[in-house]
Amino acid sequence: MNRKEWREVGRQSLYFILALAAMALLMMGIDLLMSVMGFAQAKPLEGEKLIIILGAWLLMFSMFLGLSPFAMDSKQKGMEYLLTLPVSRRRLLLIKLLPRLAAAVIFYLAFALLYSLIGNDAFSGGFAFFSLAYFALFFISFSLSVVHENFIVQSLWAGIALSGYLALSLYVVGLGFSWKFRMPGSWVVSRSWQDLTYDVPTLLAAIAVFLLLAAPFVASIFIAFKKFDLKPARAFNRRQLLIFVPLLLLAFFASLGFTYFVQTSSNYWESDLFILKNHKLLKSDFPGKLTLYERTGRRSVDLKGRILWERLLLEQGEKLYVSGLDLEDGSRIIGCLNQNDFSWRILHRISKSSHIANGHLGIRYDGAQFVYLLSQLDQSARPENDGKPSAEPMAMQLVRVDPASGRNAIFGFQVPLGGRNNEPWLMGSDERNGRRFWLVALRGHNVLRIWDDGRNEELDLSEGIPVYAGGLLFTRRGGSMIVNRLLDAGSERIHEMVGGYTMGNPYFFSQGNSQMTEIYALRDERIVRIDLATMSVDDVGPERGFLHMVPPGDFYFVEYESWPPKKSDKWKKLYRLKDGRMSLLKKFDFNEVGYGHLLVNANGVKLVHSQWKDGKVAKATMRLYAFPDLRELRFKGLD
Amino acid sequence: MNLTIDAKSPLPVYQQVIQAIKLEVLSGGLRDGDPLPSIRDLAKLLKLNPNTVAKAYYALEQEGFSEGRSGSGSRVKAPPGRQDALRRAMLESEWRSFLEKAVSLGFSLEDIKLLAEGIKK
Amino acid sequence: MSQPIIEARDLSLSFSRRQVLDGLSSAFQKGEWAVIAGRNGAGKSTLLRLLAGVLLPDAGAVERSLEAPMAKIGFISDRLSLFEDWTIARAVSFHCRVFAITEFDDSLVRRLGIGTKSRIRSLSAGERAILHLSLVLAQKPTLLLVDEVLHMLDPYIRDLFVEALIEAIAVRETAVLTINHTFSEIERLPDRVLVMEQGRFSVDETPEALRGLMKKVVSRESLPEGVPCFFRKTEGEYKEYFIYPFHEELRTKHALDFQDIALPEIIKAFIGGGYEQKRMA
Repeated sequence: MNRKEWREVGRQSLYFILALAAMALLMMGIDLLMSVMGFAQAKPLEGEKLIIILGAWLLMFSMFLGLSPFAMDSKQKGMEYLLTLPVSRRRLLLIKLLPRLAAAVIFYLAFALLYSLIGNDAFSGGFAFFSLAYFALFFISFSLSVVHENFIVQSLWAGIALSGYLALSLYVVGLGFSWKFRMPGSWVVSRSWQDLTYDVPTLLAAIAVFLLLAAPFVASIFIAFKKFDLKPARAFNRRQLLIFVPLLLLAFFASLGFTYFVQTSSNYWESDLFILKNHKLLKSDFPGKLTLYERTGRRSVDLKGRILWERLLLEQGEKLYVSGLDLEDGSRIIGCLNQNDFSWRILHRISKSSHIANGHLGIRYDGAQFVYLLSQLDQSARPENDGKPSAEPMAMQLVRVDPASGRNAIFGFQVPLGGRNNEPWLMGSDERNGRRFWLVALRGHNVLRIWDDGRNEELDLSEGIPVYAGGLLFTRRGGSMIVNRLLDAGSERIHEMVGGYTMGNPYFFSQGNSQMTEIYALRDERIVRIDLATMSVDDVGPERGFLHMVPPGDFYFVEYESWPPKKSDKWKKLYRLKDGRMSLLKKFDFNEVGYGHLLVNANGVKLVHSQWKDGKVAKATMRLYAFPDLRELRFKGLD
Repeated sequence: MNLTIDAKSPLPVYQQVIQAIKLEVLSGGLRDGDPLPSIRDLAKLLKLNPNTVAKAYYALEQEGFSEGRSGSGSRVKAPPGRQDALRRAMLESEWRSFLEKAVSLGFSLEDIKLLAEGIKK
Repeated sequence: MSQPIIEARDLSLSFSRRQVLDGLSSAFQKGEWAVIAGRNGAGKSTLLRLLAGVLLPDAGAVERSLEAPMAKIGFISDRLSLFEDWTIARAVSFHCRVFAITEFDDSLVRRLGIGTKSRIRSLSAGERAILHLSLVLAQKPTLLLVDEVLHMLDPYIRDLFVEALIEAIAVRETAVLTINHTFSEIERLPDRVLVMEQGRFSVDETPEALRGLMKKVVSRESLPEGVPCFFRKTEGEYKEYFIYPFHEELRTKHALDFQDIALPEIIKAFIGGGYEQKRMA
């Protein structure tokens, strides 16, 4: 009897393969035809397209396989005969099920193999989703085929049941996360689903949810099987419902509980570490924990999962100012943590509807207060061109927040509308004659100086990234660097340096540093030193890495083993640049493959070693080294 | 063997079988010691329920017309002496119904006698 | 009375919202030939399926004695269900394998001249019935459940069929349950006649008993009081009254001509009466 079934399944599989081959040939034929006839670009059958088509076909095949056992047997006649055979109903069903299940598994494995070869990331969320849908569809179809005769009705019910099951499973996954991390469910699901691969606890939880939720279906299938016969039964009779519904509820809560407990942390929202003065560390944990590590131990404050930490803005005495995203309402906050008593308060809140230019990175500390720019339009509303700004003006606001009181003051000004990747940014701040001013830069436009009484004036045009150092404004135009000295009003050009200079970056905010005597820049793949007094340019060394400018005016250079950097690089070296000399501070070794970055700030060096996948960080490890001796900061309980 | 079963007759089928076999014995078709057809064969031949045939055979045995169990060769037992008594007994029931019918039609006994002789000629 | 070979206990079954069987109980003995009659849609085929184990009841149970396990029950449905695409040879070998049959008697099949390479789909109804019968008889069944198939067969095949059933009873004491509408051939065959009405057996008697229980009166006038009329048919001026249950006293009490009627007409009367009851319900 088994033989009969195996033969049948074999035949169906053959049909499927033939149909698939026919489909593929047809598609290739069409592609070919179209390219020959000149329509569209000749695109070969790309791997991803093939995968998607195959996947869709497989799903249909799975449904077909599931529905076939009793559809194929000329419906009633064969089935009636089968039931007269001295084989128990359960055995009968098993005989029908196993060959088909085997075929489903074989095809699935073949597909998985193909997917891992062609597809980009082998077992990501999409594939997991497909797998679950595939097998769920098979079982649902099979159970329905036992009950109904009409193929169309069966397919409809199968589709409905599958959708219901998948939707419910996703809902539970989202709910579990949202419960654990106190985040709005929709936000969680949309982000976590993409990164299931990288987030093993999440992946496990999701799998558990899907399996647990499948249990009531499978159980009710077995119950239905016990009573299956010729009678065209209602899809679920009452007894089945009495068992199915409680099981479903049980599975629902079990899986919900499971996701809660398995999710001790989520890899995706990695923790961040900030080096503080005096060899202390601040660790920010998603979703709302801040931990201070010091020699004597550690203390933390848990804000009960509301804040997505962004960065440390300022360390002032015992006060730590941090920026973060409040997940309850999507607003951005500047909060203050007192290191002594660990009290926390929110200093300032920027609502979701206001758009900070450059996001949290656009919040600067100018030596006295926090400043940031609010723009009228957010990035998505900007036009595509990221070249020259348009003549169209855009209203902006400069907001100052007093760290002590939280009081803020706002100045309005206008700036031309830049493109998508060209937002204005705060590049510096200084005082002149007791008055404070801020400098706003927009690539391709004049640098803007905004005074604290609200006046603003335009300074020199900069095509690239301008730099403010030692009272001088460096703007790039054409093939040279223009040096301007800022006056009480306006600026005057004092020098021009011909050559392709690269100086500074938008993250560098100079806080009025008239004490600076030198700056370092890159020119023609060399590191050069520019003396701010004499404007002389001296060569320092080859450009084999990155320059870092650390306020108030220190320069560092990170040398890479290979330039351009390679994944196989084993070391990076940190140099201090002073008075035209490079002095090696420390050599950092990398043992794992991946890209390592050194981030230098006033307190020390953060080494971030990350493995990237699809433009996103997959796994990141951090080591911190504090100035002045750059010894690694290690604390108990911190891996 | 001439065996026609009249389903419409008020006489039960198995009685008809008994009658038929008795007739066969009397007419000489089945002689003393001959085997009776097996229940299976007779049932198939007459399109009868074997139980019915079995019932008939059992009755025959009770009356002494056969011996030996069914199937494995019941044999006819028809000693000559009994045949006369049998003959008369078989005719008697026919007589009775005939007479009843004649009387209900208005014939007298004399008329019947005359009729009988007329037919015999 | 020995253990029944199969027994139905309080069987109930409904399709959609229609109650087909309603607490039906009955038992059948070895070697017994029972005929089940009833109007179309009375649930006869359903009952047979329940007994065969092809359908499961909503309530109640079918108890099969140890002598009648699934392998020893032969079921011929009115759909003559077999795998349509198969050849005869394949069907036979499959059937034999599943039922562990070592010898298959193909005499019947050969007598009809059916080639083993023919597909079941291409057989006529009669040929299929004989094939089905052959398959089922090869199981050496102790219980045969035969649905209404005789009417589909030509007289020759019908004879073959009936003979085979008779043989089964004679040789193996098989219990035979058939569903019949037409009775002409087989009216003297059954040991027992059952009429199904409204999900139960309304009549369960031997043919002889039935013949004694129902008589017919044809008259232009209406029946006097006290005469139980089960069913009435009007033919112009004359009315046919079917008297049930009849007892001999009625003959003496009333000067009516109570006619004996044969089994087929009795059954017809029962069925007719069933329709009447349905109409009035």
